[in-house]
Parts: sequence; C-alpha cells; structure tokens
Amino acid sequence: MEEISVITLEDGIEYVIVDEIIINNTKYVYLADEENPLNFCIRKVIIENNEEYLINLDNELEFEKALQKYNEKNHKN
Amino acid sequence: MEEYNDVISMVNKHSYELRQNAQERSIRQSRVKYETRKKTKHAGFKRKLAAIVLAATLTVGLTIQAKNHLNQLDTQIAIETTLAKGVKDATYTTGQMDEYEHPMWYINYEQAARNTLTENKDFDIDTRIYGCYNGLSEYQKDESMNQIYQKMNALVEQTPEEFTQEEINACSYDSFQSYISSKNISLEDYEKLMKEIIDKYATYDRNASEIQRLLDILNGGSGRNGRN
Repeated sequence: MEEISVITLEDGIEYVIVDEIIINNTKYVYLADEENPLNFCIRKVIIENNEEYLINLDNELEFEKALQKYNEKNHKN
Repeated sequence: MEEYNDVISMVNKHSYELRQNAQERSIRQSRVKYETRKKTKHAGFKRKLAAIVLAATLTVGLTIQAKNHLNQLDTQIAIETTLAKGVKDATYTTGQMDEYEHPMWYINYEQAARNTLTENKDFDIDTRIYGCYNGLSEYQKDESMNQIYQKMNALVEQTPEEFTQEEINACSYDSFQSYISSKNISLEDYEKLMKEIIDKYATYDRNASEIQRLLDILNGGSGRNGRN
C-alpha cells in the first residue's frame, strides 16, 4: 500500500497531487482527477500569511511551459 | 489560423479537447487553500497515475508544438509580406501581354530602394534587403535586385545623414552580387540563412540574441564592423 496526497478543488472533485515542480522559483502543482486521470490541471503555489494557496496560471503560455517541464522531468524517468 | 486548428482537431480531436480542458482547468479558476489530505491506495497507484498523465500530456504537447509551429509559420509569412511591401508598392502593372496571359509590369527601382531603406525600421537592414529580394517576382529577379541595390547604394552615398551606419555599410557595395559575395556564401546559403533569421523574428519573444548571432554569421565574412 502507499500513501497519496489529495485535495478538493473548487469544482468539488478530488484531485491527486501527481507532482510538484519548481520553475523560476515558483512551485507548480500537477493534479489529476483520481477517478479520471485524463482530467488534469496545473496550478501554482503562492504563500500569504504563512499559508499556501493554489492559484491559476496566468495564460496559455505559462500553461505550455509548465506542461513542457512536466514532460521533460517525467519522460526521463 | 482557424483552418489549421480544424486540421489539428481532425487529426487529433481527442488530444485537442484534452488540451483545451486541461488549460481551462488551469487558467480560469479561483484560488483554493493548498491543504491536502492523505489517502491510502494500492502500491504503485501514484506512479500509474503519473504515467497516464504523462501519456496524455505528451500527446497534448505534440498538439501544442504543431499549433505553435503553425502560429510561427503564419508570423513568418506575415513578416515576409511586410518586408516585401516596399517593392510591391513600387511595382506597377502597365497592361496585359497578348500572347501570354500575364500582366506587364515594371518596378520603380528608386522607389523600391527608398522604401527598403526607410520602411520597417524595426528590422535590421540585412533582413530588409532580403525581404525586398524575396518579394521580387522570379522573372529577372537577380537583375531587378541589382537595380534596386544600386539605387540604395546611390541613396546612402548622396544623403548619408539620413541613414544609420549599418544601413550605409550594408549598401556600400556596387551591386547586389558584390553584397552577397562579401558574405562569402552562395546565394542559396544566403537565402537559407535569411529564412532562419526571419524564423527568429517570428518567435513570440522575437529572439534578439539569436537574431544577432545569425546576423554575425552573415556579416562575419565581410567583417562589416571593421570595414568602412
């Protein structure tokens, strides 16, 4: 057995934390719907008052760069 | 661009939708506190999940690459059209040939030369010269470019105060052939290199250092910086 981390996002769906990658000093979190892994998304972490929040990416370009980093990291493994 | 998206969508509809959904879920969302809970799953669950996501993102990545490539191609074509405008604007139709169904036209060489020197200043002079060459009709292309180049040469000599040192240096040869010869490359290699430079201009961040590197290759042969 293994332990995984999950979080419920604003859509009420429970997502598994698949990976975390630091890109340019920003932590990106890769999440996949536990029931349907093809439903995935990427968020980034900000810290406010010592608490971490997941916020959306700014635009398509940031999404593509984050996706590319995930592929680079995991394709090698 | 829409038709390209249609093609991509047809070729890989599922991948395209996957990307759109993932992007939508990643961009337009409200923030949530990053508080996770622990769950126990069977061994290897997370690795399998990561593999599924990877397989999906690799497909998505290919679609993105294809879309980016097509976007870049569109930008390249737009740049080539912009750079060719100077010579197109100086080309006039004078009638129709009887035996062929081609229009008769002539180029106002001086106007084309002036347009090339004075328009599109956000591009370097070598790229503007190539843009002019590239915009010429294949019929007597080299001869026409020679005429235009000689007019450019005359313009920078007559009124050097109107032009930058780079423009003066680039137009200081007595013919387009001499200009190319000064690069120590063949016309074919020149065209290949200039296409590459336009490609760099077409990247989303207009890759300035890469453009400069390629221009240095172009002008390395002539030693332009040390000349004149």
